[in-house]
Amino acid sequence: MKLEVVSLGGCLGCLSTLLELGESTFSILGQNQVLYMPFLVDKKEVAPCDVALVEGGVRDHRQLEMAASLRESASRVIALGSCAVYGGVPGLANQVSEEGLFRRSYEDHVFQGLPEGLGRLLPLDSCIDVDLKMPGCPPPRALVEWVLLRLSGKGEGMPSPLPEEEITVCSECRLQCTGEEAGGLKSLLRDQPRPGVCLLEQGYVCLGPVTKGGCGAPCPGRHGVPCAGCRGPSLQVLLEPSHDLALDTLRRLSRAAKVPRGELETALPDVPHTFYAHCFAEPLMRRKRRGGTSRFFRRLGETVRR
Amino acid sequence: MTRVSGDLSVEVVPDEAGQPAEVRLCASGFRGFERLVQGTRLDNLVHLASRTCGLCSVSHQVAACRAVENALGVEVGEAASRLRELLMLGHLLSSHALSLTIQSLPDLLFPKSDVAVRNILSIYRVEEEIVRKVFSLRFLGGQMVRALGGNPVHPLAPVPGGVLRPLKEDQRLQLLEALSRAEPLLEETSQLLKMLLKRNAELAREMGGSESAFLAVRGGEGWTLTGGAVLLTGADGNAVEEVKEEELAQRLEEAPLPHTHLKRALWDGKLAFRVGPLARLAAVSSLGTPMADGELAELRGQGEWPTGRIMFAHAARMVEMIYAWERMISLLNDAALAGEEVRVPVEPAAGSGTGVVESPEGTLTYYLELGDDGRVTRLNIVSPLQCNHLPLQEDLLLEARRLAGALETEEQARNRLEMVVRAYAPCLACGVH
Repeated sequence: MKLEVVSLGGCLGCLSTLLELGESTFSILGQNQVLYMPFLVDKKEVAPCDVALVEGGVRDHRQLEMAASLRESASRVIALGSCAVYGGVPGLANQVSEEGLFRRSYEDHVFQGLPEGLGRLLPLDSCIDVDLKMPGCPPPRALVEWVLLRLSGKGEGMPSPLPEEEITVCSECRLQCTGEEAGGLKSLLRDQPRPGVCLLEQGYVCLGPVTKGGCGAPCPGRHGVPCAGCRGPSLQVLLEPSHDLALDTLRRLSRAAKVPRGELETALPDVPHTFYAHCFAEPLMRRKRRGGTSRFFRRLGETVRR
Repeated sequence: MTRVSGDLSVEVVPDEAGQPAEVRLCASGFRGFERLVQGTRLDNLVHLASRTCGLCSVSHQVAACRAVENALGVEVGEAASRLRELLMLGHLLSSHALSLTIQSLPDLLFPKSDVAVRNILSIYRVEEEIVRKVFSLRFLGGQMVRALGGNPVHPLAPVPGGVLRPLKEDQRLQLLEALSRAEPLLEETSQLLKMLLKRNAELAREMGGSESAFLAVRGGEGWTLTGGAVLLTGADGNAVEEVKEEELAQRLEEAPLPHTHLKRALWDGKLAFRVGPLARLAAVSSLGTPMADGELAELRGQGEWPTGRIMFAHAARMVEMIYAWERMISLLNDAALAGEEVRVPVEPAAGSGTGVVESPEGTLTYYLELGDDGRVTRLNIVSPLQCNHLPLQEDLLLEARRLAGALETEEQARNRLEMVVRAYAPCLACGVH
């Protein structure tokens, strides 16, 4: 397989996952032809290839051009990680205008010769067609390993690490629901969760029920940390206009913590950071916001072409 | 630039006579992290700050935690600070191994070969054993981070007030066992590096070396990744000033430059300084562990010390990797590590605080302001690359002047400049944020 690996507006975290796969790192990078990967080899230009792995969202015209030339040269383009798929944490910058964002860090400083911004951060598939999406921050190791081994013609008969159906993080979580009621909203800063018991039920803000599964729920299940939604919204939330990350979670939490919804909303004022940290830039989620419900296909209008 | 962490290009601007007059580091890719965390509750801060950089996530997490703790007057317990140290040392080992293998080993092995073969993948095809060995140092660091914090990329371990959970006894034994097997590996790698630096002795003597001060975090016992203070050392190796952690943000002055999103930082607005392995070692006379101290003495005996000759940063990284290994073993054998209390409760409130840590690349500063409801009202990050910005630019200019007209091909000249950059192991995601 001829492979190219590129980071656009990413943090190199997903890309470095490739270097954390132990033996598979050697067979994926050592035994395939890596044509372009600025992180690893010195080739300065993109060449025709079988698979292009792209990390990060698209923020400026240089990244847009790179995305377009990868689309032209690669048979398959894979969006690696939640930034490429949904815009990721950098997408939270879309809360403010690009001008405001720059002003906060650089005041009225004028740059010369740097690429023009696109106005906001866009997920990769708002710019080019994407063949496969592997969300996660970073994507689950087993998934990255399996996909790349299969694409390079190895790992024959290796079972898929993904569940057979589209399920949520909650369905993969091994924590138990006990039916006991929580006493109010909890925070990891102050409280120590009881081990083995569902975090949402205990009153923690856990996005498990509304987040795409396939990771095996290590954060809540193994580490006792509420799900932050890094795999992005579940299929149901993406498809159904009536479902939403914040609304659905608040509804459940209100029932579990025995706190009225209004009070929860006051206690959790940072809605973008709490509920949309990894998908704020995802156009499909925009229709969930006030006044946006009917514009299901608004996303089409947000596609940028060169 | 390739084989660098992130998107960076270097422009050499000639004067009328065609001689290099100015070098610019051109980095785009501004994402506005300082702005995008504004308004978040502290619950989400570490998770978000971590995403500034996937290669240095541990450093960002700990810096953010320290800023919160200093803002709210939280004292982290003994066991928790040891576990954090362990985590950061594991990360340092893994990060230095990455810089050494992927970014710099090919240059040291084949400084003049064709661009197509000068990378770790070609070396792997010829010398599979070497690459596997050096890489297992990276896996070892990754294993440490995984045991303490889940995933090696964006781990979960550091939380404001301490760490997520204590280290289990079986994990402790496993880690000790893995570490004990690494000794021959470290020795071999160290020998290999010495041999390569000797082979490239001329380059090592010439490259870099522009005059600048050095800045590094200072704790009680000398070399440290987190401490209550930072020490500014002059180019001559004499201590200039020691400043408390909470005052650092006021002493570093940032300013944007015309051709890059990467700001530069100056001490008090006038003095350029380096951060990173050479700066950390410049500030101490000994590390306190036998093997690393032996290596440090050897490095100091090479000639000028402290040095800005940037190829010696590779040797400095090796010293730090050995120190990290020795220190991790002694930490894992330390009874104070075993405490069950690893987290103190944190009550969000108004305040402001600075958190300073040494990331593998150099000093990383977080300045945080919290509003009355305990939400973030302001965050300012000063990254290691911002500190190294001017010295790196100056080193590149020196190198460009040496190269002008001297080398055979443009490609070779370009790689020489790249070698200077790689020796700094710059991280652009942290740098521009």
